[in-house]
Amino acid sequence: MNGRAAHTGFRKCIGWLAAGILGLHLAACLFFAVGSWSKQFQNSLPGTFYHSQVLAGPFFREEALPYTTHFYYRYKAKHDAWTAFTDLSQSQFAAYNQQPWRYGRFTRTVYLNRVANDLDRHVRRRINWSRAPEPLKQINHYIVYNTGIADIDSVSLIAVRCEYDIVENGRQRDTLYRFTYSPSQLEKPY
Amino acid sequence: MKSPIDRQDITGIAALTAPWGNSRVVTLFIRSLFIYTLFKVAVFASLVPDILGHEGFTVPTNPVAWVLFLPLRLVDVDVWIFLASVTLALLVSLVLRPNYITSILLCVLVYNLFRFALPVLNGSDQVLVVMSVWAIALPLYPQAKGERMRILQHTASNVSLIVIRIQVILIYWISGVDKLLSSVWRSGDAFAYIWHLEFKINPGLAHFGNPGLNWFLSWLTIVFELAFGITVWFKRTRLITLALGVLFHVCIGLMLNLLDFALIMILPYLCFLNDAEYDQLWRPFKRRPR
Repeated sequence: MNGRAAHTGFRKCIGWLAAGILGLHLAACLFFAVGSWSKQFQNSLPGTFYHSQVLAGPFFREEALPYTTHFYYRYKAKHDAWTAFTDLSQSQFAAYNQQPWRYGRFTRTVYLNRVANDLDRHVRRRINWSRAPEPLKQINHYIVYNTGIADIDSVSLIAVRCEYDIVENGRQRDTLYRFTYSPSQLEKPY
Repeated sequence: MKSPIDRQDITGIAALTAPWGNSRVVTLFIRSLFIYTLFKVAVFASLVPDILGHEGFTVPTNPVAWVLFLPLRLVDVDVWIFLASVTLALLVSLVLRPNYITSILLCVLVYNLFRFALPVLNGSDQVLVVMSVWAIALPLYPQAKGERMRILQHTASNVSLIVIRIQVILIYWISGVDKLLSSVWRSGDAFAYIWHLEFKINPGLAHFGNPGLNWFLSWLTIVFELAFGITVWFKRTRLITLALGVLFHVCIGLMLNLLDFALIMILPYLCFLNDAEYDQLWRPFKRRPR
């Protein structure tokens, strides 16, 4: 009996084991991708693992496609006048397009847009925050860091959601929120 | 040149345990993951002020997480020391021949990096995390001693390879089915919206398109995403499927500025090839001797 023949049984055994693992994995992928009917299974440990680590996507979902959020801010330093409003996402995207090799600027545009939308969810949930919400802190950090002014007295924010209308071939604008806050008050209860 | 599996010397279920003649492609794939992760480190480095503006990451307290996220503790010392250490580790691993230690290191570094950059992550990062996990058992070096250990080594590598293939196909199928169920995609309106995505669309392409073209591109996307998982398994259609996939992602990358997503979707295509097919890809570009 040559060497290969001696290992034929072992190969078959390991082959079946590997095929079993692959079959189980594929079945689990399909089950957790399709089986939204059972919350009990979806919330189990394998369900959480497959949803968070394996089942990436779907990408480019229809819900997100028609909308873009414009996020404007202006600030007032102590003993100074209000600045003009800056369109945060627009300015970052324009900066990226001027230097497309600086890919981080595009990532920042997407990030700031996400934070602006997150803040909208907080605003919708409750107006009187007992504590400044995380997205507001992130936006404040960005503004303070980028202006380089430590003693900003007040910041004014406006978020406008633009929905592209195919029939009209134009954009419908809806103000999501508009408020003014003092950066020094962020860590204190509102 | 045929790969060992095509030579039919080990057939049936045992073929899962045989060498598939893809050691160079596997090496290239793992190295490409290292290079891609270095690219992500550069992107995250440019976003440090934004990342530090976040409330801060919490590391789970269980013993496994404590060990897994050990490199992340360098952020408490200095964020630049953390990023420099990750870069150095990736560069050293890139120079070395891919092995189990460098593959595990890649996975650990990717997890640490993404825990650090959590606020600025996107879909491409999710794909990289998954790939780095499945790539742990991929290397065929150092070669195991003894026939049985070698069989186990090849089986582990082959299973990882198939899992990565399934992963890529699943990404397409999940997206494809989602689009197929969406009236916005079926009607072609999705592309009308995409041309007007203000902070994503390449300014040179903004307001492009017409209803006929939008419908065609929508269905082309849906058909590609659903068909990829079938046509890529057949030898006759594999290379053309992968070439179309590269074109598909390059177009999305240029159109929507999604360079990182395009790259991380193209890199695993290597796992669908063996060394002979990979060489075949480059044959038209090689000079013929006169």
